[in-house]
Amino acid sequence: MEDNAYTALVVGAGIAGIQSALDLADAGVRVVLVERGDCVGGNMARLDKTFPTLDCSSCTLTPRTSEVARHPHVRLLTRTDLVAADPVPEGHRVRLRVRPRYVDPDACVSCGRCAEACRLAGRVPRTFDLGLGRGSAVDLPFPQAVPSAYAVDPDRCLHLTRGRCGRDGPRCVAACEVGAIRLDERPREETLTVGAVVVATGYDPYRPDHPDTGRPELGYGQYPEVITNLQFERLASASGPTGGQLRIAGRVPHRVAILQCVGSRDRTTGASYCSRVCCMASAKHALLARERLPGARVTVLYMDLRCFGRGYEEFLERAQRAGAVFRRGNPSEVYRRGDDLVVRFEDTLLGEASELPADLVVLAAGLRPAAGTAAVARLLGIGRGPDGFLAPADPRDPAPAGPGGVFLAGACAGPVDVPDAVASGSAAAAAALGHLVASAGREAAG
Amino acid sequence: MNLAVFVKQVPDTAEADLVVAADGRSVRTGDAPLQLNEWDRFALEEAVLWKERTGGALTAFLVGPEEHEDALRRCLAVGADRAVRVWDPALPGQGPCAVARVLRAAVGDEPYDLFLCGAQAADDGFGLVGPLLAGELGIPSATLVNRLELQDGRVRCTRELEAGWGEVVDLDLPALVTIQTGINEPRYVSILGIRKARKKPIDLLGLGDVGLDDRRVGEAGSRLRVEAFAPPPAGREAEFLEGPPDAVARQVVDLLREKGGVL
Amino acid sequence: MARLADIDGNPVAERYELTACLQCGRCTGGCPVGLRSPLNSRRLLYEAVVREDGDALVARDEVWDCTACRTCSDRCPRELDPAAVIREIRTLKIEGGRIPTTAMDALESTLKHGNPWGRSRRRRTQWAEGLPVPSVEDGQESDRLWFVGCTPAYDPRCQAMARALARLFHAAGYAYTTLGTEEVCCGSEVLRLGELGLFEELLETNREALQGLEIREVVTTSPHCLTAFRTDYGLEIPVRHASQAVADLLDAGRLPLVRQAPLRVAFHDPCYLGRQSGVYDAPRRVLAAVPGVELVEFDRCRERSLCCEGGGGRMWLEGLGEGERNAQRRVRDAADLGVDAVVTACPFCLLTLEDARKTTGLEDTLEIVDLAELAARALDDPADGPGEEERS
Repeated sequence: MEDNAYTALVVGAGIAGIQSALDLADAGVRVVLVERGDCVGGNMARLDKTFPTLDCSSCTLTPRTSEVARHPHVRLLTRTDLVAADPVPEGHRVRLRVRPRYVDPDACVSCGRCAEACRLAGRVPRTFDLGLGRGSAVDLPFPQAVPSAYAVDPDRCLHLTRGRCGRDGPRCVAACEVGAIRLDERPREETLTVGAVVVATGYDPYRPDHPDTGRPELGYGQYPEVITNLQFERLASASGPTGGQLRIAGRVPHRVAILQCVGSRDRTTGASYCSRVCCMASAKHALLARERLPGARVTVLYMDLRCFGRGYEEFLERAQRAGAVFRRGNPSEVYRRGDDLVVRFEDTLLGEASELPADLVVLAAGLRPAAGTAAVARLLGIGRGPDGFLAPADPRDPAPAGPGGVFLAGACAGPVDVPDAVASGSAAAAAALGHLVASAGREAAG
Repeated sequence: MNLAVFVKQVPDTAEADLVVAADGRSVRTGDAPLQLNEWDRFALEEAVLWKERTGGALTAFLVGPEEHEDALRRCLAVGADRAVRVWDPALPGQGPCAVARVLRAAVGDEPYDLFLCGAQAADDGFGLVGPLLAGELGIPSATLVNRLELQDGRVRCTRELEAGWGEVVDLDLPALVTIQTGINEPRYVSILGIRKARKKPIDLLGLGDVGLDDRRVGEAGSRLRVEAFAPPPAGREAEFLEGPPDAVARQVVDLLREKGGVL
Repeated sequence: MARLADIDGNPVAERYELTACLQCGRCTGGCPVGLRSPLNSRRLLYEAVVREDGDALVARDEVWDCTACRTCSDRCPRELDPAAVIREIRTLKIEGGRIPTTAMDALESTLKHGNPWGRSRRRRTQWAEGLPVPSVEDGQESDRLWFVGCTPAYDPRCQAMARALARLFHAAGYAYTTLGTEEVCCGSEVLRLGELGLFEELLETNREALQGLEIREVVTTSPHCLTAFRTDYGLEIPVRHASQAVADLLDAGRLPLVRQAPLRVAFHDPCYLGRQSGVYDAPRRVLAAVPGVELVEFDRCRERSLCCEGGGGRMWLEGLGEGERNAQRRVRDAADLGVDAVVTACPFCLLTLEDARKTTGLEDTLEIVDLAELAARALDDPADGPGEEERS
């Protein structure tokens, strides 16, 4: 990189972070894009289709992920965390910790032989599939993952956790024909100075089985037929554990219940706020279920239907005309009866307590600030709202976190849908660019 | 339960111009539309209700020309399983005895448990076919029944008497009852229902099919012969009561007491 | 157990896309009987979607309160049709045979006598006695048919409508013919009550009559007949209401209304003339042409007119619920407006408002008068027809 070029660090390579990185890179800024996970794309890569257009999510995402990986002004570091950030006159001096992938991404050809050969093949719950699918200790999140290279899970790999893998050593090493496996790789650190930092650390889904803030009465984790909305996306995806077939607990469901506001608008789960995207996501799931499970009874149990964006109300109508039934009432409980589950709720429009039988229950789990958000906030001196998400110093100027050259993009600053995440990524990039130019101007002026 | 109901199609005489025929022995109803005899509507509804309650079959019978078949279509639309129409050129002009004889023959050997008729017909008002038919069948009967209860092998009938009194009689089955209006609320029969019923056949029987010859039916077989019909004599005009409301009210009360309108 | 299905077994929720219902409640909110009746269209649509026991829905009787004014369907933000769902339920009740006796009598009478009033066909033209009303039965043909209608033909109060119209047509030299005693019910209320089979028969009979006589235009006395011919029959020929015909005759200068008929009036827009057929101005043009008539508009006029509860078969249905009926509200509003009379242009409105006038004790201070009746008072020559009796 040229020494006198503008530089920026983007923390988080979900759609917002990617957008910021690309906007900055296109403007000539040298961007270091760091991602804690194995690949870029964030939660959007998990989605099958996006509302309201029902465009294929990876079809929209992949051009950007490829571009960001190839962009001459972007240096992408995966399995990387921000561990220190000190304000300096030029911006921030940041220290990055790069965790080992245990696979050389330049050598790896993504053939998958290592995963097939792995002694733990079919036994490791796949993080990308949110626990639904089973894979190996060395894996690729999904076929179009960028970087396109496998990675070893250091918490599961026998060689890394026990010091040895079987009697004849790691099978992945033996299976790899290009010698890409590097089980002796070490973490490394890197320090650099950047003129601006964009935080785009995104969100994690709410866990209904959380010991403190979970909702055990909904049976998540107890009944295999109860899954979350993101897990439904994995079922619906061609790259998912069922290859896109809607099947659960070994059968094709024909009575689907989608429960809204699980972990949102609910103090018992630690979140009074609305997660903004779930009404639309549930309408999408209801429509997909009607389309892919002909004759299925699909019911959405809701408190309100928040379809505020462009094309959103029309999308809701589309789902309704496809035969998805919307019944008003916040579900209270899920329990088993025979082979089926029963959702207990009040139908407030009828003013009657009701039981809804279902063989697939989808919980519209809300959004939480991603794990590590608090740490990032501390490192960079960013405020947080009572809801735990990052908060700008001035709520009317949401892109800058404050005056210090740190900018906020995407869901780390509150639940957003894809269009708004992209917009906020661009807003952060624009603000960052403005900051970089203004700082340089001041510097030049002496 | 095997049920039989007997129906008749009669003219709707509301606002009809009734003209006594030249020979004075019949009434021409002109273009007055035909309808199912009102008492038979209640009998039919009662029959269908018992069919629904006990399971089993209902057969409807009618003696009349083709123009009267609508009554049977109505029966089929409402729930009768079978309909039988008996007609023969020898049949017009007969009285209730002959009708009863024809119906008895049409019933044949079929083992019915309960026979239902209307208490009377709106046109000739004899009220005789039911009891005569019971006689022909050799079974007990009760007339003017406004409440029916079935109890193992018997039927408990409440007969409507004057002044709100009822007489309860128990009949062993098989039995025949003639039905008084008000026993139930006859259901509506829709046009679509009647159309659907067109698929069900109506058995048409002639005298030969029922084993009767024309000496036993028609005018020849009737023991009753109508001699003459005449319109009722025109009465005086209505009386108009005039005066202030109190006085008029007092007059009305007196008149009611006098004429027996108040008990 | 099965969800609510129409008589062919198709689920009503699918047939009418009821899952698109937002449950916003605008339908129930605008229903003219909603404040008094248990009828709740929003709830019915929801139940048609979610209730497993369709039969239980059909067993309920509040659907008989509907006046078929179509406010619900007109205002639905998703363009659904609650009025049709209510009618479907009525049809199911009809096929099941359980309908109020008064409605039953009206339907059976229509089948037997060609009119719902239990009157003989032969008496259908008695209203025209002494008036020069052409009829095909007298061999008088025209390509314009004046469809008189059952209620104007038979009802003692409404016969004055028909007589007045006949006098107006005669004064204008208007060419038309009538079907005489061959005229049978248009079937509007039969259809609204849900008797589809009987409606089809009436439709067939009337279509054949129109075709056989090569009729090219129909004029109706009642807005209900107007709606039946225009909307339910789907006739290709123009169908107009008497008020439109009279308004056109006035515009053409063919109708001399010269006598003073001084009266301060409010015009009650009938649902089937106004909102359902879009005719608001023609009656007002007629009123403007009657010398001495001063029109004061109701607050709830035109599209917001207060349904008199005469439609939807309600002339033969008592209605559930207690409290003030809309017609009573209407005449009280008229009294508050300080008008001498309420003018209307529909036989059902005329009858329900007349009833309400009596039950609210306004008999001596308020008159209910049909548009044609009022216009006919202004006709120049009493010899155009026998003078009308003193209004009672």
